[in-house]
Amino acid sequence: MKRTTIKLITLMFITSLTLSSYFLIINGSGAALEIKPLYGRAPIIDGKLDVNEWDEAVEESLNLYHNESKPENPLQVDLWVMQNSSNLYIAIQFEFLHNDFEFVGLLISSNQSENPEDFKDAKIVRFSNISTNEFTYKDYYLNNSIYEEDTNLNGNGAGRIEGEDVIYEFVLPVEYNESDPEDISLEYGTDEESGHVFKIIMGDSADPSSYPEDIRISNNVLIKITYKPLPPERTPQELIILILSIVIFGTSGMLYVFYLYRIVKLKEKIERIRT
Amino acid sequence: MPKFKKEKKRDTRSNKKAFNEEFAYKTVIKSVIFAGFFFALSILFNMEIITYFVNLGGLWFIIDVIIKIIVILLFFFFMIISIGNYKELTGRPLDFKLILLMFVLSLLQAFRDPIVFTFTFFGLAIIIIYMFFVQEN
Repeated sequence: MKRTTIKLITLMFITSLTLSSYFLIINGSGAALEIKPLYGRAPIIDGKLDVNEWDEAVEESLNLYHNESKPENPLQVDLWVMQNSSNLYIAIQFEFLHNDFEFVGLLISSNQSENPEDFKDAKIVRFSNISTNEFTYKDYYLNNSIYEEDTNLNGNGAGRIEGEDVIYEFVLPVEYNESDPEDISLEYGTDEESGHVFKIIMGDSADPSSYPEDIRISNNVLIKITYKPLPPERTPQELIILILSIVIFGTSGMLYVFYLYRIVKLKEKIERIRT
Repeated sequence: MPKFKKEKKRDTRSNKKAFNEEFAYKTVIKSVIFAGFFFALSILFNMEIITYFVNLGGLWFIIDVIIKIIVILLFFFFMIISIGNYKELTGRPLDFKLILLMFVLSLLQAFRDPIVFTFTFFGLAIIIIYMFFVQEN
């Protein structure tokens, strides 16, 4: 074999290896996505993606798998993530042949860890009657993988099916109550170690107490809740323009008021002359 | 009899003068109110407190420029009418210095945007020329 052919084959091998490893990282187990949500107006949690409602959100696509360590036959879901000063908002949309007791939930890790024992909190929207869009929102505490219903319902969720499309919406309070052992308090943070891993789960179950056996597909997303960005500082040029505007319009305004005063005085003068 | 008649004539003349003064004064008030309204609009648009149309982009940018120019021109127009009538009531003519002051104050409102500034400059010049010819006639 010629040297150039060997070189070419080696190059092709390295290229294919690089590309395949890239896709393995993207579709492999663990947090497939990292999202830093943007600030926006609070949407209505009703299972409807109303016009402009999620425009300010970060939009991503995510594949859910039967087995995250063996990513095959994915279900692609569209994901919207948004926040404001008090809440985190998540919307999930996908097309599927829906089952009667379909559910979608969020398992929340206390940190960036993807270990099953670190997922302590679960928020699940489950259809009780899919044909009439009846659903229930439940908040669970995960005690050694056993789903225990919370005493206090935290956050909110909604689901809605339109044809083959289904939309699930969630709202979770940020820095809610750190002392509540049944919930994970979502924390703000900008550094590398901050953020929470959210496992998006989907399945169907006639019996809500049968979690996690009925979870069919899932995948992880790392969400980093950030503080509201400060407005950009004014440049010296912008500051000069602002001051000039105030001076110009202020002077004009004062002259206008002075002129009004002169008009009033003129009226008095005219009346004095007449009398 | 003639003496009596003369007094009646003087009364009619003074009534007419009072009526004219009243009319001129009302015009001063009305014009200054209109000018104030357009000045308030000018603050909102030319100080860029309202940037709704600019943010929409495209054709709305042109509409924003037109609004900015028109509010300044109307402010100038009504102020000149008001000051002109005011001066007439005081018995003095509207001098060039006042027109120049109003011209500068109106034009300065457009200083943020070169396009608005240019068109406002020509608009103000046209209004002054128009008023000059109306006065001449």
